[in-house]
Amino acid sequence: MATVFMKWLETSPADYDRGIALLTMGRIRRVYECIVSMIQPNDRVLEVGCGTGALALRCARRGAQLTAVDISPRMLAVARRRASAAGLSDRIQWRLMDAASATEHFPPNSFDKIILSLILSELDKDELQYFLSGCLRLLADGGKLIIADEVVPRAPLARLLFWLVRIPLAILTWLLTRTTTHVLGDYITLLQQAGFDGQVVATYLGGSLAVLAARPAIRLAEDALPEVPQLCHRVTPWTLAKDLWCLIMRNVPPYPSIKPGLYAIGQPNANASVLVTGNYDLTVRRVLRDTQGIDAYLLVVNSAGINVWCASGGGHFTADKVIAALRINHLEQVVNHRHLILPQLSATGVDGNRITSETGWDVRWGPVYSKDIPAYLAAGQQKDDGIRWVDFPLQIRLEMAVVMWGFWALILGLATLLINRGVFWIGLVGALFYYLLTGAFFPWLPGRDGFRKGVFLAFLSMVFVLVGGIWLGGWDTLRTLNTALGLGALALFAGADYQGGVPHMRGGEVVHFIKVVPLELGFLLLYLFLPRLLRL
Amino acid sequence: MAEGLPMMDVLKSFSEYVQITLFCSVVLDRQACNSCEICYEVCPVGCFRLAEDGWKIELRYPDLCIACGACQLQCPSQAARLLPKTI
Repeated sequence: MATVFMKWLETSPADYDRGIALLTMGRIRRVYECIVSMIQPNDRVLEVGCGTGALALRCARRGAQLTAVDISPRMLAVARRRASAAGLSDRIQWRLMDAASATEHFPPNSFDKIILSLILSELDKDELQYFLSGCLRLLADGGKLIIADEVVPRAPLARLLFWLVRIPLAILTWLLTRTTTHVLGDYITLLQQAGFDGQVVATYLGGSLAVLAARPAIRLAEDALPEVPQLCHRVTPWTLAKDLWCLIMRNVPPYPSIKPGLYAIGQPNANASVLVTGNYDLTVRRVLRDTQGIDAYLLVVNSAGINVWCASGGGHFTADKVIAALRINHLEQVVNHRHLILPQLSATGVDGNRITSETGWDVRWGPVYSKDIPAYLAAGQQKDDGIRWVDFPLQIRLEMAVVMWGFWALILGLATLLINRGVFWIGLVGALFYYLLTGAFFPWLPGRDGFRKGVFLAFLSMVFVLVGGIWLGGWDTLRTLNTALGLGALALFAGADYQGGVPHMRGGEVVHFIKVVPLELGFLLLYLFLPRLLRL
Repeated sequence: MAEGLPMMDVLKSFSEYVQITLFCSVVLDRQACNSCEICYEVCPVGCFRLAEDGWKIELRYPDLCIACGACQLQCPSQAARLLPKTI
């Protein structure tokens, strides 16, 4: 029913087939039978997205010659094992590549059937069009495209039920994997646009799972190069609102994003530089702001709307994404050089050597910050040490202080209301104070990471309160100890929260959780049981 | 029962990530290094510097390493690698 969960299943080949069977409530077997019935012996068949090879093996048993493609080496390893166990190894060639590469890799007219089982819903709209027109090129005369995928049911009641089930699942999947699938809406029109004449062969599960067959309706003319849309820097109330949103909601999806693709900055000609970036809205607008007066192409890669650093670390900005973007946008026809400029911070996720070996494009690593792009280009795509390394200036530190405080203030506020209403205001103000204090004095606080800086500040505050509260303020022991504990906990938390903020310190959240959570819980327990302990 | 479930894979990759970010740091195998300077190009914190002793690249500030893995991914000769820190 819900191939949204596929994204998650894909990580585990061993359970992939069982998972698919479960998701389709066992209907996948009938889907496979339906597809196999359309295959003739000795057909040359291409299956894109073969997974663990369940369908490919069935087709091979029927006597077809298969080429099966998948992007996951682990899935292919399982598929290979199965094929040799079934004695069908000589009938199937397994290839490791993504969908876009698959349509580029094989010569035109080389297949009689192309099978796409549960893969089209994984592609976004641009990728889909590109991929389908690639399939059109690959099919021989009289060839057939066979599609099995999740579709929106036609009947109104089924449609309502479908969305009722799908929307919560899609949200859950998004939260778990930060990706989603695009269920096929008007698939017949979609096929028509790509030059196919399609029809529904069978539907399952109340019309939400369909098998389609499509024949090429037209022969491809060499497609004319599409116009490259222009992007320029603008400040409007709308962009200001988006800036504010990005500032506040830095940690929480959905992230505002722009449509991936090739864009023109200024008036680029065929010699213009090609800059690559992710499709987080703020990232793209920062690049535009910083490249005014420059003529260049901007290749916006689908990074799931996440900023460059986090997307690279999290596997959303990869060599595959860049290669797909290169091919989809026919970049080789737009410029007459073969040099890409990638953001330096994407080097943690994008394998530059693979881009070069697969596409012939040469990868150059640009500056860390987009504000240094003009200097980088002016110096002939060379960077000096001034634009090579991450820094962490005061303005950014204070901006981050407010953002991080704002995020936690909500949770902290709720917690103090539940535990002790009396410390609501001092808790919030104290937390802001420590965030700002840590930010302001960050480079001078001892310790290289945020956690140690937090420990130092916590220690300092506790000593300060213990000395000041008892001897100068004349506070009683309980009040002094409680205040010291509370402020210490806040200082530690604020310091540690800086950890993942910049590419300057080791992965933040991990250090944060392992060390800080037990410490903070310790503080809380002490705080709660202190009155009882003192009374004893 | 839990073996092979997607959740276990998620946990496994998370624990790998924890091990790398907490306990690994960069090392440079100068025998394998071919001085292409790609590590110097991509390191965001400046562990690598150009050297003048005939090797061209040296790992001058290993303490700065944040285990981001950029040098390891881009190095064509597997000379720059993240390995468990020796204490």
